[in-house]
Amino acid sequence: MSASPLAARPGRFRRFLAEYAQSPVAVVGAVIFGVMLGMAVFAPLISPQNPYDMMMLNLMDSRLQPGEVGSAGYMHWLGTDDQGRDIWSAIVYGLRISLIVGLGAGGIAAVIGTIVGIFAALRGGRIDSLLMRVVDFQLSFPAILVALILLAVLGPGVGKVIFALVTVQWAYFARTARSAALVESKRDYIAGAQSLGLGQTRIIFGHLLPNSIPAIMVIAAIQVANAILLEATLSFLGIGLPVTEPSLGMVISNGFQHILSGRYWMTVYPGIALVLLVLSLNLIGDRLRELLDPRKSR
Amino acid sequence: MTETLRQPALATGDPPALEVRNLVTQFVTRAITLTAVDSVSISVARGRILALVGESGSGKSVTGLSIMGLIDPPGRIAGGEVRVGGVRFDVTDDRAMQRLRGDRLAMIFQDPMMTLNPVLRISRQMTEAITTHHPDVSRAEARQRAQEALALVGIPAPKERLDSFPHQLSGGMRQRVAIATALLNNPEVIIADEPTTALDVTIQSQILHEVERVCRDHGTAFIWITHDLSVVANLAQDVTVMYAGRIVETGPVRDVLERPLHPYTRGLIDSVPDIDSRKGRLVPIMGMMPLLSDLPVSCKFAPRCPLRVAGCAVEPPLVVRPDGRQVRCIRPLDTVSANDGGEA
Amino acid sequence: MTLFIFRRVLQGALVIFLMSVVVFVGVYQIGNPIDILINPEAPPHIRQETIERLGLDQPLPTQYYRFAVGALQGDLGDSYVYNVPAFQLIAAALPATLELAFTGLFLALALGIPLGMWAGYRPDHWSSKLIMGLSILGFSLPTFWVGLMMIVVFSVELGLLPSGGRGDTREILGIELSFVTWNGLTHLLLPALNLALFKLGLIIRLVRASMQEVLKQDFIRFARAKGLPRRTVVGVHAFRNILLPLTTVVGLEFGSLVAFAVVTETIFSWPGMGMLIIKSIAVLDRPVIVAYLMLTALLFVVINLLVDIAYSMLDPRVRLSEEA
Repeated sequence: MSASPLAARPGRFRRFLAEYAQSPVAVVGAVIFGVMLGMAVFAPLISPQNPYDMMMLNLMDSRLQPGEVGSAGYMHWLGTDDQGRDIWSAIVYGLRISLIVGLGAGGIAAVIGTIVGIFAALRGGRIDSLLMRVVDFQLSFPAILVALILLAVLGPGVGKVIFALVTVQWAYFARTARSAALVESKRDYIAGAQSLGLGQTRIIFGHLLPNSIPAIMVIAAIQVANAILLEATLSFLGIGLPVTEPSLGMVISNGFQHILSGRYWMTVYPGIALVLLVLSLNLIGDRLRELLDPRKSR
Repeated sequence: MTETLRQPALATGDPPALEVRNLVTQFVTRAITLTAVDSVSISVARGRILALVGESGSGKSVTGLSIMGLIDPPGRIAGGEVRVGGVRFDVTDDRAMQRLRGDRLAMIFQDPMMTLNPVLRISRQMTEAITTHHPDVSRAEARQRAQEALALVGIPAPKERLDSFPHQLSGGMRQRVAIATALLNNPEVIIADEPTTALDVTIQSQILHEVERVCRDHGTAFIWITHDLSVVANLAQDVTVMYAGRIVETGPVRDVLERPLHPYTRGLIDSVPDIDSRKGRLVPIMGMMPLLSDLPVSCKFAPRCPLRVAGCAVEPPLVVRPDGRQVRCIRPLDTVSANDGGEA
Repeated sequence: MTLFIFRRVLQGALVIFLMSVVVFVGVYQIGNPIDILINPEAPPHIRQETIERLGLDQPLPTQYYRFAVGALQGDLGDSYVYNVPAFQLIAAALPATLELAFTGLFLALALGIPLGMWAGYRPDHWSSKLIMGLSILGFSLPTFWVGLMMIVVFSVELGLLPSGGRGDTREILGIELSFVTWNGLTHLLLPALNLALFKLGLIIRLVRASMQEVLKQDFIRFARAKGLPRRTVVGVHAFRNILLPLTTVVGLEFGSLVAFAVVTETIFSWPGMGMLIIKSIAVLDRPVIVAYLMLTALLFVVINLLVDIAYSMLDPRVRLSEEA
């Protein structure tokens, strides 16, 4: 029974955090994600160079092994690529792009999907049926296919990639929001509120929405992870982000050609960074699911 | 009533079909260890039906499962002996128990709807019970036996039914199939855990009738777990009453129901509506059975007992009386006069 | 049963029709292939000639009509780049992709089902927890990066397996298949494994969850009470019940597997539809793009139909109600 979840917020949140922290693995996930977020935000401060500023690059530094010192006098902990870019810097800046795209796409998809889902739940009947048909149709297509075709049509660009990702993801949010809202809207107190003449807006924002949020949060973490992975895959294939905005996927792609010649560091380290980022989000999402999914019995 | 239909007298030297001594079953969690069955002893002779009675939580089902060796972690059998036909078996030895189960010991469960696997045919589910224990029996022969068993429990058109799927049968039919399956290898003991609770009354009486017949004709011993005293009265010859994991009373059905010894037994009888009696009101037993995690050290029934006295602060032992009846109480009802209340 | 199939086929045809319209119109919007295919400095009459040849000057509905008529006859136009029928190109690449996808699916199931069943049967065992942990890792690993690592480890460092391409093929029933040759197998192993990993985590989780659900059911207890050995209880009674949700999911995921083969094919230079479509997108070879999408749509419809049929065969409750 949640009459108004907005009321008892502070205490609930703290309790929630305490429960979350009971799984050490989940805490590790949260920490890793936090660290990577920090790295992305403070990128210029923690990297010796901006790898995409042509002025800072020196071809003499290309293909340095991890641990070698470059011409600018500092050590390249993770080596350099064939343009002389410090891999560490490339990773940190790449994280930025990956996170911006992933969080951006996830956030927008969440908003759009939630609106559609709650709307469908509230309206019911034919509109609901129709909307869910659209959702099912969307979901029956593999994400990669949809993204490929959209980007083929639209061309490269950060905004376009985000658009493609949102198109792929909104449906998950819509379905989840609708389920949660449906469960909530069937509760007696909603009928009571409606018969009292309480406005739709009040019902939506005061009750349906807050009670859908837990379910949305679970999906959100996992969808952001998926968005980041999908974007990385697209970049790797050469579709999507322009060369001027390289995400981790592109960094990995750049290093691809050098694998066979043994210069593994150009691909392995950025790959590890990507794995850590996505893994941490998945761990968080998994833990959230354990905590918030009402169907799961402890 | 059922006694007159019993098998010709057994030789007095025959061991009981099933004998359980001091069975202890516990559930172990990080926080606490619960004792669901505390030193329970029962004995059933060939061809007899023993009713095991109690409210939910009394431990009667767990007793049945323990005897079959079907207790899974976090539960474990912590002590006691089980003897089938006089021979001791280790209920924790899954291999040994597996050979017994379905062959000499069988069990029927409460909910017929899900007792049978929905994706396998009845024939498969019955014949496998035979071929597992008797690999030398041919498939055709096993099918034949299954068909006969179905006929035995009163299922019409058994040959066609054999090839159907469970969802094509009603609840009552499915329960009969379960009983037929239990009978396939002519077990010495069948443990029935509230098999008719989920069925309507007319079906129930039919099934009880079949069961009686089987018991009579084959000499199968039954342990009938139930909370329904009318079933006890109509079917069983002996009854054991359980409370909070312990036995509180045992005896022949007639005696126990007409002249109960334990206050709890009396409470159970009094709380059942009787169409013939002139009772004005139903008298429920006040209070609730204690949780296993919260058992008092006194007699477990004392908190609810109208006859409790100071001496009840100590758990009484199970006393075997000269007439064979057993009771766990320091003030059995035949020693208490009508006006003798307790210090409640 | 036949009525059921007939209805589904009809539905499928409708879906394909809708897809064809959507695909055709959508692809039509992609830039102007002329600008890509023809040197901008080419004389105007060559441009005009090419435009006419490709039919690009016709209004949209006419172009669609020409397309639809041709499509029904198996003619999806000629590739702008290779000047051979697009359908032919795609069809030639199809067996390679399907071979990869099926092998990948097979591996994912062969590994995932036993692991998932074990994790569901003994969830508290340390090995089960390890399996579940690895499955999360499986979701998190970018397939393409894993593929790269595989090449590094098995080809470059250990020199055990080839780093790309398809092996020798032999023709079976008119189709070139490579898994029947040893050389073909060595080439197939890594990419198929890579693709399998994509879905392995999902399958393990699904099987484990189903297993846990099923083991709680009464009929499992009854099976044990009959004295059936554990291997029969788990391997027959439990297993037959987890097949149901598994079939549904696997069917749906197979389509995803085929689409995702794009990535694996790129990394391992596997000559399938995936590589073809990437190149075609890059040069805006419209007929090939359309052919790919239409074929994929057809594949999806067929897969869905097969899954429905399989499900009704596995679950007697569905089968009989359809007949009734």
